Amino acid sequence: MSTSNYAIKRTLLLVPVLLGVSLVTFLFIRLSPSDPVVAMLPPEAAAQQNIVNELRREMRLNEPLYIQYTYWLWDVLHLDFGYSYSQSARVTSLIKSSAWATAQLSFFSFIIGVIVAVPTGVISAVKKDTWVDNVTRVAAFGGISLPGFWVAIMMILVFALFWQNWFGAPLIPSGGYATLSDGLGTYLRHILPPATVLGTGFAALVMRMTRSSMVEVLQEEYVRTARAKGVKEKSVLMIHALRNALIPVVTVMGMQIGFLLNGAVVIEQVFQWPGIGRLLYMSVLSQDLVTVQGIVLFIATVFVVANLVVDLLYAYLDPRISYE
Amino acid sequence: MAIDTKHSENRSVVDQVGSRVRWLVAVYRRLDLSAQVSFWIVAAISVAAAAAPLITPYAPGEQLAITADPALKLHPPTPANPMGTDLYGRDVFTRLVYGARSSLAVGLLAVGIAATIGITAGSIAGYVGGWVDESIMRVMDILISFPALVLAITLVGALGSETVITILPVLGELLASLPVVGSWTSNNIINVIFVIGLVYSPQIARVTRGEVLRTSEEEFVEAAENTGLSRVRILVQHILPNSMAPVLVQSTFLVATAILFEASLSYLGLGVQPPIPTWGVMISNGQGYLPDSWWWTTFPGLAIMVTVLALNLLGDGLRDEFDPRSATDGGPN
Repeated sequence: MSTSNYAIKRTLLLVPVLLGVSLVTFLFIRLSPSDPVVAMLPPEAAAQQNIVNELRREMRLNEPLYIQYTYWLWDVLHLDFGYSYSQSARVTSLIKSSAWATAQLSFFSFIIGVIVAVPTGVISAVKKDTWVDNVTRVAAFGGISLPGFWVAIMMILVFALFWQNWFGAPLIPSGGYATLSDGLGTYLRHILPPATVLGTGFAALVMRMTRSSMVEVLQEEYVRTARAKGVKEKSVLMIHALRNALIPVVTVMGMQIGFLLNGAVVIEQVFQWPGIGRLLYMSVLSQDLVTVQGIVLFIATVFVVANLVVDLLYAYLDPRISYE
Repeated sequence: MAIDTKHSENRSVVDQVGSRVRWLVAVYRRLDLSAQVSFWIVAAISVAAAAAPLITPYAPGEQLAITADPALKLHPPTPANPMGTDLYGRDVFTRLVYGARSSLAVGLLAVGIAATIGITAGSIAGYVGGWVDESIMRVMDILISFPALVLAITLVGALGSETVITILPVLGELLASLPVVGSWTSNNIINVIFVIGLVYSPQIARVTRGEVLRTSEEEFVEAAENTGLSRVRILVQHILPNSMAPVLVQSTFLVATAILFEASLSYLGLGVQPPIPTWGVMISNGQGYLPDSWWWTTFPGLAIMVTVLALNLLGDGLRDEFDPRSATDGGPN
């Protein structure tokens, strides 16, 4: 199958997967034992049966499940995720503003991760089975074994709280959001700490993949040929080996978007970063199921589409790969 | 005569146990140094968790500020309280040791549930094939389309204060019969175990399916089919036992991930509820008393890191031993 046929097939397969995802999201929330209507009303209103019934009718909760699902899906396809009672805003606009905050955070974590991971992965592969390799291996496992929220707290403890005690002013703020209009310095001081925490785990996984891919490529004939021709070791590594070794790494990076989204839920909470993860958490806490539903569907869609894009990118980058 | 038979049965059991132990020792010897050290760390933590009352003189909920000395509130580490005390005058080290119980129990039971669902679904999909395979794996694809922690938070949140036991009483009875865990059935920890198990079942299903497909091609399976054994028996007795190595390796990583997940959920207040001590809750409670009472948050975090790191390194060593084909990246995500 040609690459373009493969691309078309994969894109079409997205439709049933996304439908399944929406159905699962809908069912998980609707089958929740807590009553969404009671959760969204203030206690005195929730005690009055006629108000509850009115709202139930308005939200079509008395209809059979498949009707409810069809209505909900129809709205979702029109980018209408409903109204958030806990935040008093349309869910769509809540998602829009918080997704931007998370996107910035993910971007910086991604950059930090790649800057750390690719060079250490290459060094580890070149120095395979030496102490350098072993140290980076244990460090990488350390990276995925650290509870991110705890690292975040420790970071705030040392660089904000202790730093304040030692030097009179904190090095980083203990949380909060800043935009570029607050000035580049303020912006970076706010975004870099959470991005570093997220980037650490991400880097660990990318580093391991870079290493094993690089080890494989270094055994290839064309690398040996390049060396035999007297090409400088540095260009053998950077031009002949690394460019080919990075292709499978791209796939792993794609899969790790899920890792970044997972991390965002907890890390955004620690740093009070108003992203999609924190929005999800706040909505879960206030039992705002309509909002939870919208956010989960949005996150899963981003995740599925991102994985598709990476797969297609992989097929494009490595034309040797054929798909039956 | 009857005694003789019994005797020889006993002998064969002893032999079997002996050969298993010898095999385990041989596996251990082939592990690299970091995996060997990790094995002992995991063993030590497990023993500490099981024998918690023997290791520390205090009970996890004991408020030393009331029972012993009022000054023991938020007291820094001393020889008697090597990791200090918390706001209520409870010994942090004691709570850490008892917290290992919840972490390990969640890790093992969640992976047990993931393995039960995953191995069943994966082996049926791989062995039966056709539309059964297609439909099982599409459901798994959909479950895997959600970032795991996002799904876990949503499910735990949707369940609220209800426990899964009200929905699945059989599961509740099963868990209630276990030691330690038996007393937890009304706590949210049951939801955490179940949800993490569900979220990770597709990963086990995928690995199992792949292995079953591979093993089904082997000659001994063909031979078994020719002897006229039933398909169920071939799957359970011949294919599955020969497909389990990569699943076990995967499970080791999943125990590590499950422990991290439990800590994250408990930190967010969605996981294990008081009075069960857990590392995640300790970190979240201590966070408000920084920077002065740093010990309250620092030690539980270190405990999580050491446990999870040891499990991951052990899994990596086991993978080199049993599943060298997939030795590419660092564990699941």
